[in-house]
Amino acid sequence: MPVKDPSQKRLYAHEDEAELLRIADETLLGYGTGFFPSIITHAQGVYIYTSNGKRILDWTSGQMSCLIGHGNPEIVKTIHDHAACLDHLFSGMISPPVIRLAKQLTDLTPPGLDRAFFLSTGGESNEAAIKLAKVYTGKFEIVGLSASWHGMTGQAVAAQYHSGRKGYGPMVCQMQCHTSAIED
Amino acid sequence: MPGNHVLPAPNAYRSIFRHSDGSYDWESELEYGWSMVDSASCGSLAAVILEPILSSGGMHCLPTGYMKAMKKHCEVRDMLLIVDEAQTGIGRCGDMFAFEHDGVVPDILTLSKTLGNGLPLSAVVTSDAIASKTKDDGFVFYTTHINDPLPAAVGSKVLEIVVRDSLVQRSRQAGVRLHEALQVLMSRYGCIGDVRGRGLMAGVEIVQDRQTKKPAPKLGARLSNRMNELGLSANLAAMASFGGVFRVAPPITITDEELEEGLSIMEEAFKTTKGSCPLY
Repeated sequence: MPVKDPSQKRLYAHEDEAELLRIADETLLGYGTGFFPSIITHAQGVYIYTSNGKRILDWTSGQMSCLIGHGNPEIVKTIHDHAACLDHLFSGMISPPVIRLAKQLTDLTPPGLDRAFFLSTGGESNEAAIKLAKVYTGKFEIVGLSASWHGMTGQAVAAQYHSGRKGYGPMVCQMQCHTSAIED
Repeated sequence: MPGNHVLPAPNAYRSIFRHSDGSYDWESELEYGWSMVDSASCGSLAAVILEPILSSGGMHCLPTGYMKAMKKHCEVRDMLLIVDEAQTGIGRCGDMFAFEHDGVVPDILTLSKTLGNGLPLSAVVTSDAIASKTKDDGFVFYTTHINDPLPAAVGSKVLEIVVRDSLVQRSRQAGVRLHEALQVLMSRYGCIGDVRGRGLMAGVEIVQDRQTKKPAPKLGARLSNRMNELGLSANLAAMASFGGVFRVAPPITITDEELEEGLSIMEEAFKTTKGSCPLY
């Protein structure tokens, strides 16, 4: 299916920034940061654009993530095709892109990094990694560095010392319960 | 807190652990840190988790040999080493994975941010041996979006493009230019206390003056606002705990022209912001 050049498409081209900021102020829940003063309405390549049309060079790749640029045409096509034809499955079912990614990734890693599974966020992957280490060693103490950032989920933030520890009571330390295989 | 221990993060710029010649003595720092952890431990040390470059903590690279030494500390205690490459993985730092630079293979590798190019995708990678034993021991991480096809297809395409277009080499090469330019900037403005990082990942620490190394969060905020005005987003001053260090990590597909554009905006911001301590 042909995909139009994404840079030609512009969503949110006629937004009222003052009105959006007023609504944001009334409806968005905080999460520990102030907001950038402008509303961002477009992202393309290494640039983002504000609602009044100002172009800003994005030197943080979004949240350090857009490795090969915003709106990369090949990524756009991949998302488009899979949204249309193979989006989400029962967690016990596997599909070609998952198997291919595992193969590509473990071909790039040295021996000793032989197998992978895929989750959504970094916090979630660290959560899983810490649980894996606890089950493997049969032990539960985790050591982290004092300026670390590993994510917002329970076991990840328990190993994180830069920020995010205050106000929630004791951090996670208990052994994971060994549950039987998922049946339902 | 029981179960969670902390080691001093290596900070070559500010650590009080120094050799007699003033250079950073990370080995003594690490030994001292472990002596504290061993004292506090109840005898159940399972794993160390670390980032090869502590990005949120101020863009601190692990010193040469640090990760190797950490792996030895783990082996002595029958612990696993988990390396979190959320920001460093897939070419950002001039290697496909930053652990390659350190000559260590982690027991568990986690990837996220860069793998999905902005879509929520992360990975846990480990050895056959760990996979096999934890399977037998009943490890469960059954969750709604595990191994979802759509984000996996994006990750697969990201890897294909990074390999096909030699973007790891590109990141290394562009990184040389980035760091060279930031060093020049540091030679011109006294408020830059330190420049660090690797490949297309850099930190620029803003201080009141180089002797006291006192943080200058207000100056950092002014510089950040000025860069925004001029059309560059390279800041994390929005969260107080990040204050003081500009973090630079552009897409590794950035062209030479786009890189130069960002560098000249940075220079202009330093030139036109009060308190930047010009040295020329």
